[in-house]
Amino acid sequence: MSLDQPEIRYQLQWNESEHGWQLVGTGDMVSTAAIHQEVRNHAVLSSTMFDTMTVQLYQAQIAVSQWQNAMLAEIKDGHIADAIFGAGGIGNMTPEAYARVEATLAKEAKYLAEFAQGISDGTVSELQARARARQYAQAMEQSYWNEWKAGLDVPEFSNLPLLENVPGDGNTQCHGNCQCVLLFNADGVEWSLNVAEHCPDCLALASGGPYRVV
Amino acid sequence: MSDDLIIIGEPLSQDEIEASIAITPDDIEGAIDWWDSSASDLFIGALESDSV
Repeated sequence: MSLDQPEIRYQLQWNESEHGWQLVGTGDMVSTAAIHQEVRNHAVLSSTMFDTMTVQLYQAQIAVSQWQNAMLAEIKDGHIADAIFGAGGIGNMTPEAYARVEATLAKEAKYLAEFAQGISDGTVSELQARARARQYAQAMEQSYWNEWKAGLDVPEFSNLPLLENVPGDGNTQCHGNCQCVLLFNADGVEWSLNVAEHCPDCLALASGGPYRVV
Repeated sequence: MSDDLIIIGEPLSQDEIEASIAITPDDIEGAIDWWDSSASDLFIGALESDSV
């Protein structure tokens, strides 16, 4: 490190036993609500970018391949970053973790290819395309939860029912609009309803816990 | 839908899509930059921080 490169001091560190982020100075845990909000904040920025690019596509300012490439690049950044955040930092990312992210990216890329084909065929209106494009940003959060739960192999939870969903994975009726979070306590993992309207699937998941997640 | 809708070009090929899936070290570095460039102050650097 040279004199013109000051030491970076991070404000957060991952607490393995609490399975969450804590403040370096005080050791206070960062709330799940704050974590969820941070992930959402990134998704909102990506959503705005997706919307702008889709408008440009329909105004013939960019080609569909450029749009698709730019969408894929942003989707990739978001899923990788959220996965690292959910794992508790890059030091906790394993080859299996990257493989999970790649599997998610492959799924998203497949949906995007079908979407791009629909746009190219003229079967998707601009308004439909803008709404659908924004959903790719909201879906990024699933990579946070996928890695968060992958690190929660707790033997005491082995008799609990397995929770296969994660918020934002598209397997609930609210799809990427899901505002739910997962909470970890001594009883297991709970599907927790955040402040929002909830779909029937999320209501059922919230009433079905506690769960094991691996 | 408007009849004068103009979409330029063709979607990516399957090969081009598959080539974009694999995660490289550059992708990881890019994702960390992506995070830090828009993170709230508290969360900047979190992806590269240590565990305790």
